[in-house]
Amino acid sequence: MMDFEAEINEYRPSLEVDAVEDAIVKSDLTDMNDIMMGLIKEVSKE
Amino acid sequence: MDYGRKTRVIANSYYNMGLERARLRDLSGAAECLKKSLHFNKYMTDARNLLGLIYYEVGEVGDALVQWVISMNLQPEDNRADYYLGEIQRKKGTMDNERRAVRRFNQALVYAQNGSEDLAIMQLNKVVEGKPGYVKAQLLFALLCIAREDYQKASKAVSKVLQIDCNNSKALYYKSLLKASGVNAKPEPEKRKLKNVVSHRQMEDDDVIIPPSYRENTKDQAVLNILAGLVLGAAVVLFLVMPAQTKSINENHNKEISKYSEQLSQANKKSTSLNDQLETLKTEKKATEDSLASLTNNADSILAQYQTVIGILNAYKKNDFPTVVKLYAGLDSTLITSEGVQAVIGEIRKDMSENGITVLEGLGDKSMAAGDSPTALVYYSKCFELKPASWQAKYKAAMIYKAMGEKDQANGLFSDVINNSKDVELATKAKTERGF
Repeated sequence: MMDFEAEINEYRPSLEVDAVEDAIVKSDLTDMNDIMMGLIKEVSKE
Repeated sequence: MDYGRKTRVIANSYYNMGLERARLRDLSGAAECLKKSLHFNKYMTDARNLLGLIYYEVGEVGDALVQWVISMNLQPEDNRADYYLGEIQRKKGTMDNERRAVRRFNQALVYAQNGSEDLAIMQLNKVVEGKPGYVKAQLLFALLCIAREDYQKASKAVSKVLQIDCNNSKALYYKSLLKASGVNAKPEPEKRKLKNVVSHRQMEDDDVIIPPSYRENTKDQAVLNILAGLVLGAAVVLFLVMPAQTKSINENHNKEISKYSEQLSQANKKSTSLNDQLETLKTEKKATEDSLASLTNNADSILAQYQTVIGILNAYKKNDFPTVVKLYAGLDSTLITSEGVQAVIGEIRKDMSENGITVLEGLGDKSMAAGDSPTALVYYSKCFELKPASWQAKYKAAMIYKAMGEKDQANGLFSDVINNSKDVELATKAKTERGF
């Protein structure tokens, strides 16, 4: 049997078109390459 | 193989996987693969553009724009995202429609999460009608329909979602629920194109509706139309305007009648009050008149007593003692309240008791001889009032009472004479008259 309340609370609002700019600014664009580069830098410092 | 190359290979593999799934319309799975691809290599422009395209396909325009704009930033030249963004901006009104749809969905979600399912369904109806490919809206709509046990609508929405994204986990879950409740959610078959079928597409601003029966009017038709207009106008006046006016006039009339009735009622009340006052005043007037009459008109009145006293004093002045006695016999000194006059009356009484008894008795005898026994009784009574031992007067008064039939009065006086008088002869006569 479905738990209606739990199910409906799983839904999240869609990103508003007017909020796209903020979303772009807050986007985390770190990829695996950046992480590796960071680690390599740390290791080379040591 | 260096790390950079390795990550590019992995990213590429995920992109290929995502592309393959997207081609099979497994958009959810494709999106997951593409996100992983971008985690390994953010410069994987094709993966980012395809992710934006998938977002756009499922109705998430905001997320699509984010991916395409980032893509353009990371690779400004020779980028497919430029075309996508241009397409959206080129078509007039597209962005506004998308913006409105997203807002409505978010509003519907707020309604639904706050227990206003009816309002949520109304909003979602508008959203999915204008944008059937909005997966999240269709899913929420399906969920609310399942909650209301409207399985047909829910099934339709789920089918639509599966048509867009065949491996959508929520849609599959709802489908299983619907299946358990005995409803099969199948993807909608493509509608056959039929002749003369009215299109239900949304109208654009520039669309013009031309009635199929439109034709130019002839002169006769114009006259007929005018006549029909006149008849219609007359009917409107007769059935709509006139009743309203009549009602208004009647209401005004009723208000006036009500106002006059109220005024009449107040006037009647005033009249009744005035009549009551008149009756009270009449009663008071009568009482006052009676009082005045008792003071002035009657012989027994107070004023008459004062006049008698004045008469007595005048008679004294003229040395007319018989008149003094006569007037004194008619005086009722109890009605006089003035202490000064009472003092004068006291003097007169003293003189009467010393000198007036004989005269009074003589006047009584004279009245008796004239056959006026009531006047005689007054004189005799005055005698024993002034001098209680006036036995002759008492005997004569008793005789008058006896003659008048007032036995008690007569017997009282006879007894007084019998018991107290030293005049034996008179006492004997009194006994005889008393009946001893």
